[in-house]
Amino acid sequence: MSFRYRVPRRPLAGSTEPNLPFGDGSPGASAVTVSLFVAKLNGVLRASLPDTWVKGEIGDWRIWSSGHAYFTLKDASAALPAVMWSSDVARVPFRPEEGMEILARGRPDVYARSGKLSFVVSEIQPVGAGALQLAFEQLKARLAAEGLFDPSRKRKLPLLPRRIGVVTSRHGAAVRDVLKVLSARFPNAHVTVWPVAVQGPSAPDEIARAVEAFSRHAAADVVIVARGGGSRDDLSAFNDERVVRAVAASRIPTISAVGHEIDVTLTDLAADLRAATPSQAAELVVARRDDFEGRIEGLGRELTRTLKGRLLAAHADAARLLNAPALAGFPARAASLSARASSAARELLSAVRRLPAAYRERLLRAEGAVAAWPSRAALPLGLARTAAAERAASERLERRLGASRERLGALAASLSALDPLRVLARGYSVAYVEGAKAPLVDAEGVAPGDALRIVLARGTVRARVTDISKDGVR
Amino acid sequence: MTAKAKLPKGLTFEKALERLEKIVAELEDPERGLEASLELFEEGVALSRFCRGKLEEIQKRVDVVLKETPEGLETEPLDAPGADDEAGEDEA
Repeated sequence: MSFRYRVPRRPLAGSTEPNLPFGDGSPGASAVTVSLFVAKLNGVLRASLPDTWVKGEIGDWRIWSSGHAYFTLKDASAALPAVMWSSDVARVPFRPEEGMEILARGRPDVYARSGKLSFVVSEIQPVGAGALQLAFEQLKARLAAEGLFDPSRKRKLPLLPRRIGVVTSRHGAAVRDVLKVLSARFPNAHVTVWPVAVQGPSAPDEIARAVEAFSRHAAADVVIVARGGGSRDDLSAFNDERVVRAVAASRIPTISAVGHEIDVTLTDLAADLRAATPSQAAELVVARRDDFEGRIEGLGRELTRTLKGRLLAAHADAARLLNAPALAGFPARAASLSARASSAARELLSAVRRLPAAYRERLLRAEGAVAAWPSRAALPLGLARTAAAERAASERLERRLGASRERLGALAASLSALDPLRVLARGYSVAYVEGAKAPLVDAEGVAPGDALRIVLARGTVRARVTDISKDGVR
Repeated sequence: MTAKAKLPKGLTFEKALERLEKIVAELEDPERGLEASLELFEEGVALSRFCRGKLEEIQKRVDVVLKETPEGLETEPLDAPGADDEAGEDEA
């Protein structure tokens, strides 16, 4: 079969009526340009197929750098190339994916340059669940896959937050509730409120920015993200990816208090702790101050109690130590030494009363040291602190006793040397002018005929001065 | 007893309380020597003092963020909480 192309008989002018150029034998007269034909075709399509919902499956969804989306809408036996302009793509809340069954609203359009037909889609909806629900599920799955909700990511809340951040609406009930609960539990809490919109188009950005800024400046030890005020059902800001990511990324432990019992928002999942209400968040954020005080006080009491126990045990150890066979005799020796020191001191004292002032002072010092000795002998009890090391302690005890013994020996020697009775025993005597208290040391102190009293080692002699010589013994 | 036991720098309330609890438990150990026990006790007293101090240290304050600056958050005290909270707000 041959096809004869005929020039239309007359040119088409100004008519919008479809004018088929294949009527008679003069095709040139009725021919139209390609552009016009495509324009007419589009006109026909638009008129007969206005905005139509088409149900099908997405095949090969691609978004170009221009932001426009190109895909195929298909079913078992047909396929329709489809395009969605970027401004419309931006309004799709969920992510269209290959194989997803959708309803697409659009109109057919022949692209003049290529003559190809495409279905220009202005809106799509998932089949089954609502678009928002699908968007929620998709985002949830995506963030879960990234691990944002992992329990291992959950940070522990600080026990004692120095500063509590609250991200919520300025005049909502949340601020009021949080402050009310805190003032009852921890009166000196420091709370910083960051006022934000909790619903509306600006809410996600405001909430995310507040959470991020608290984290960036470490301006709080814990942050409560609360929904106070706002519609009971509008939780969308708390399912917004920016908010969820901000909460997950925050370096500050975060409590969500979106205040919705049934719906768990993605912010709840990303938060370190989920509170049912802002009041509950305030309860979770810090323990009662009383509880802290009670706990610290209790620990202090325990501390003292246990130490007392240890001291008593150590004391018992020390007592046992002193009775240990290795040390047998030491306490007795210490006691006898101390008794000897006391009696030596007593003797000394009486001797000193009869001695010149210079000697007396010196001897009194020595006497003090000796008198202090009995208490020093008790020092080994102080070794109790090392009771655990029994052997070391016994060695130290012996050393101490040895040192004390040496001291006592030295003192006793000097006492003996100074004892006037001993001097007299060696043949010396002390002479007094009769009636005088001080011994006679200078010949000029007497004159011939004076009466003298001479004290010997044994007995006293009374005599008279017959002559005086200035010469000394040496 | 002069409880001048040295506490580590940057000690937190949590860590101090944790350590204090551990010390109390350790002091119960009869095997521990008295010298070591005394040291623990002194540390414990210092820790409990530290914890009390931390509780006192927090200043009661409620403020509102005005804006974020490169240095941090600019705040002002929250005025009369509750005074203007009622208007047209649904509770959460």
